[in-house]
Amino acid sequence: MALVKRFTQFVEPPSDGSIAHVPEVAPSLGPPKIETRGMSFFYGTKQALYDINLQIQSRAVTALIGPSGCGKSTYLRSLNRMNDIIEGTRVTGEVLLDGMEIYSRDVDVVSLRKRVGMVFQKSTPFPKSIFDNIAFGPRIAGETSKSELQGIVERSLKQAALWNEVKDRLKESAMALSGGQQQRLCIARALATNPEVILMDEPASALDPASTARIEDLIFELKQNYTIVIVTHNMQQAARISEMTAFFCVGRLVEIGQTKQLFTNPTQKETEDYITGRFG
Amino acid sequence: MKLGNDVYERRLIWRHRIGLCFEWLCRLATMGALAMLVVLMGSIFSSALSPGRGSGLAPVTLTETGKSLDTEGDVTYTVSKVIGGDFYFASDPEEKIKSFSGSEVRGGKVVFNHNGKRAAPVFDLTVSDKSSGKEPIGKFKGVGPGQIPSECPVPDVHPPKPAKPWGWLTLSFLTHGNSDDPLQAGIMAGFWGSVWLIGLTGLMVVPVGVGAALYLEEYAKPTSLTKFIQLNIANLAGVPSIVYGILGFTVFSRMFGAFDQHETIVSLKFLQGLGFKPIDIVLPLGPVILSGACTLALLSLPVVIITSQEALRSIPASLRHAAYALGATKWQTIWHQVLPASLPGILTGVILSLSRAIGEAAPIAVIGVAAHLSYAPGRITGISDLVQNPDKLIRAPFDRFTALPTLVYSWVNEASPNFEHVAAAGIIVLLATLLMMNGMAIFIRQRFQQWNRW
Repeated sequence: MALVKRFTQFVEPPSDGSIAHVPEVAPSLGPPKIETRGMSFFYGTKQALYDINLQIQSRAVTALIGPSGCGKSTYLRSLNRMNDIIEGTRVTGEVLLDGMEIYSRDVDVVSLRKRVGMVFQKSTPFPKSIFDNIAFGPRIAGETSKSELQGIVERSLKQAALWNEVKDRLKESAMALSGGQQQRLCIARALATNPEVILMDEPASALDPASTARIEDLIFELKQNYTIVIVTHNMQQAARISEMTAFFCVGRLVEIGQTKQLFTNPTQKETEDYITGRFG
Repeated sequence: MKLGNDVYERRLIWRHRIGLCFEWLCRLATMGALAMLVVLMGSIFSSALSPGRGSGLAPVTLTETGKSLDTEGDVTYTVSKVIGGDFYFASDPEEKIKSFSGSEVRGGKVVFNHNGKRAAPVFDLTVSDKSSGKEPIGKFKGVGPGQIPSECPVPDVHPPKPAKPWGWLTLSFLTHGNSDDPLQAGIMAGFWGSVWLIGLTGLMVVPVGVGAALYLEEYAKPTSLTKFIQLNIANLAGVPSIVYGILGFTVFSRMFGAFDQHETIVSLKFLQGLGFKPIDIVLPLGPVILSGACTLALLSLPVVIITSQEALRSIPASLRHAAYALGATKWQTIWHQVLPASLPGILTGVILSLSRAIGEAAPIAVIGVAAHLSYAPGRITGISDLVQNPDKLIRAPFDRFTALPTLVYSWVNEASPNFEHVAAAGIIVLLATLLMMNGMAIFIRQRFQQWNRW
């Protein structure tokens, strides 16, 4: 009974429209790369996110955790406007990338997505050669020089720690790679467009522990040059790789803080219940 | 409910038996289909390769061969049994005769009419000396060349020469136009007519069909109008082909009768600027390749649209999302990812519908295509001719033509003998053309499919 009572306290939106707990704003390490202010998100008439205030630091890993259906993936996809593909979605509030509103009318979605790359839960290599997979992004951006493309492909594959495994078979189908290799290929593909931010939606959830470890190592490498936002169900993973962790529940941002602090000393009861496995 | 052990076991056994039954039923069905294919191909090939009825249908005048016997005068032949034809007096081809004299044979009065069913006729003869009354001199059985006993003068009936000893699928069959004489009839005009027809149909169907499928699947909002269009396309796929024939006749061949009073001639003068001879197009088009191709294009369009839509729908959304996430526009996503990935499926639809179109006789016949044509469309005789007169390539779509199924249909309908063999040879050419087309498409499909594995 107690658990149900605790739970409903999030399900029912507060009557005065404000949020119950003002999340503690993360200690600033300079200007945030991405900032959302009072952001709400709607699928048609159904509201999926309520008034999210969140700052994402540059060149750091921010992990989004929370139970299934809490809106963390929706939040992630709204950062590069991938939700625009779905009919009838609507965003209110502000989403700022380097202080620029990305939902304003004059923003080009295509160039935004080049700055904010994305890696999905299921690896989705294109049914083409490994080379063509990586070169697709630069090609549609207008890059035609063969030598330039070769340079980009090599650099991206090296960054994604895949180069040594595939350098002799760049012309072969990407579908022939193993699951872990495919996911690293997708990361390399995202890196090829030279983004500033990489959004990762449970990138390792379908992989075995060895492949997961490789992806985590990779994220650790990448955060020196890129801003990474990662959604994960694996709390150990969040604790291992992220600097900042945000806990979402039922469309609300419950708590955000430095990972170590959030996992050892959460300020909210719900966070504690979730990370200790008592609910969610 | 708790089941006893024996009940449970019996159920297991029955489940196993039913499974076996189904397996064997499926196996039988497959074997039946295979047997039907073998019988079909066997009958067509045996007919096409059979020598056919030869000149034996014309009366054969008998001669006496062998040594003359020691007879005092004329001999009399009495026929006791005959298979493969009958003896007649040349003056009266209606009445069979059973008895005739040697002088009548020598005088050319007796003929043997071969019934065309056997290569060599067989008959039993009794030879008797007429004047001496001594009889019989001898009895002979199984008369045919080489079997005639040499001591007796016997009417010599040669077996009819086969019309085409090597079957009907010969080089001359492939290189000649149609003719009233089954021995002269060829399929060249029909083959090139069908090639032009199906080429133009494909050129029209693929861009329009795939474009419509792309619009309906990727761009159109699911309004009630889209649903209505969708339903109608599905219905059109089931419309009988003869209905399309009537449509093609009215719209393309007769052009609604708009030019019935005075034929209009459209001169394509701009071709002169390109270095061609100018070409005059007579309106209404009449039964030309272009109207046939337009009709077949309409016929195959619904199937192409539906199968292309299926192919586009089968592409996982994750592929599109991945492309969008890399900064691709909608068009770039469709052109670079969705379309190549769905190409195998689209090609399957195109193959299916074009294969149906190439075998259609009814709509082509309704348009008014004649079977008796002895030249290829545009009167193109060969590659060297084409190099010298490249304007024939533009002339051909506006030329009258005949197609493979039309030819086969007309040959099957011919009353005179031997045309059934010509038809069989024609069917083989049609099937070979189809196989070639499908083989090409399957090859292309395989090349694209090797990348797709999800």
